[in-house]
Amino acid sequence: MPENLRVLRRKIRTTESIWQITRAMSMVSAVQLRRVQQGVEQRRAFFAKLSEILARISASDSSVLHPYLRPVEVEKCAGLVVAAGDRGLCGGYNSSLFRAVDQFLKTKTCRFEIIPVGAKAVAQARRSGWNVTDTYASLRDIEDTEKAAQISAQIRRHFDDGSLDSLYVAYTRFISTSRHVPVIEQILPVEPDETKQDADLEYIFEPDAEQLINTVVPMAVDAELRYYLLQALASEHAARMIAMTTSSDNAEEMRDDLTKQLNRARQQRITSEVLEVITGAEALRQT
Amino acid sequence: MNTELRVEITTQSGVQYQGAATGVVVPAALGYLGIRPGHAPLISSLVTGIVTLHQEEGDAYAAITGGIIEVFDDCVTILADIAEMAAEIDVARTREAMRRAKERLQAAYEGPSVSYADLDIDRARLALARAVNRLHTANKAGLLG
Repeated sequence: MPENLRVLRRKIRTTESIWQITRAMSMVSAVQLRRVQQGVEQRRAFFAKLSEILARISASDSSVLHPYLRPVEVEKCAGLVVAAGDRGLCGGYNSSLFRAVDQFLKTKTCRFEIIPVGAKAVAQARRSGWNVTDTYASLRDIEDTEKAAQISAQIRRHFDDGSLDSLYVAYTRFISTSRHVPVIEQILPVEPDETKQDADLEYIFEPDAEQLINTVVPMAVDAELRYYLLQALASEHAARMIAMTTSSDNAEEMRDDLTKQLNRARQQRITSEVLEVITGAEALRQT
Repeated sequence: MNTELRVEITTQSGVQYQGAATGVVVPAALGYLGIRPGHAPLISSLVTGIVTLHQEEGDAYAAITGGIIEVFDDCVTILADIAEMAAEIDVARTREAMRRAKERLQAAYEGPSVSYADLDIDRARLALARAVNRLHTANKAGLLG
């Protein structure tokens, strides 16, 4: 019996420290989520407007002017940016993205070059033996404007030099704090918006069409990529926050259970000790 | 035909302005450009300058730097690198920024070896241009008194 009590006490202590850690992690994630989520929301309007403009340009006659707007003829080698988290302990966040990537790769017949972003994506790429072009070990860099610009410029370069025919991004779309789904989106070449197809649409470009399209199109692609990667980051924090909140709730529950068990065992021990004393006393009196 | 334009000024950090105007003047790459309702579809790059929104209740001003403008179907979309409505300009801070930029330029020109390609000089010049532009905008809006 005393053995048992000691074991129970140790278990309670362990669950308590687990609870402390997971609760702290969920609180940290909540703060980070709020910051990143704000960034996502601020960029939403900019990104939406820019992609609207881009869709109209790509549907107009001017689309011949930029390689990003020309449809792929033969897709021989495609690039896939896989944006996963930097760390674990975030529930199924990383694994469900990787599952989506595996499924996507099965449906495609062309060669794929993978560009993992985030430490977990890099690790997964090594494990699965993907063809890796570049690796970016930190998804958090995307919050920094300069680093984000560098990353997307480097990624675009593979398309520019012709080593990739198209470019996709696999990321976890942030819908709300409790809803984030892995999706795969094509970013290059830009798919023309068929619904906005308008033969009469002729933009006036100033200073001149070529120069302007050369500024606008890469700018839009960068904004799109950054917007997606930021969502991936927001989803990571949200997933971690949920996972850690659940586990700290569980730890709390377990601690309560264990405390109850401990109390019951202690009472049982006292009862049996009292019984022993009484029976002993009874036996003495009878003699 | 519409008699009004729908105007939106957006930057990477959110929508700065959204509203109607009877006319807009923007600092395009080739000089200030006026837009009225019924304008043909247009895309242009923008430089540092003042955006003027003609409205029935008077003109509104915004200081912007860089970016592009799209005109389509009486919608004017300004996607700027930096944009501030005149009312949001912090005049004291802008003056301070201007003073610092001037100091940096002064120091650079009086220094022992002047390299005009120096990145810092470029940055100071741009900062000065932005500060001057902000002050001009605030002045137009009658905020400088």
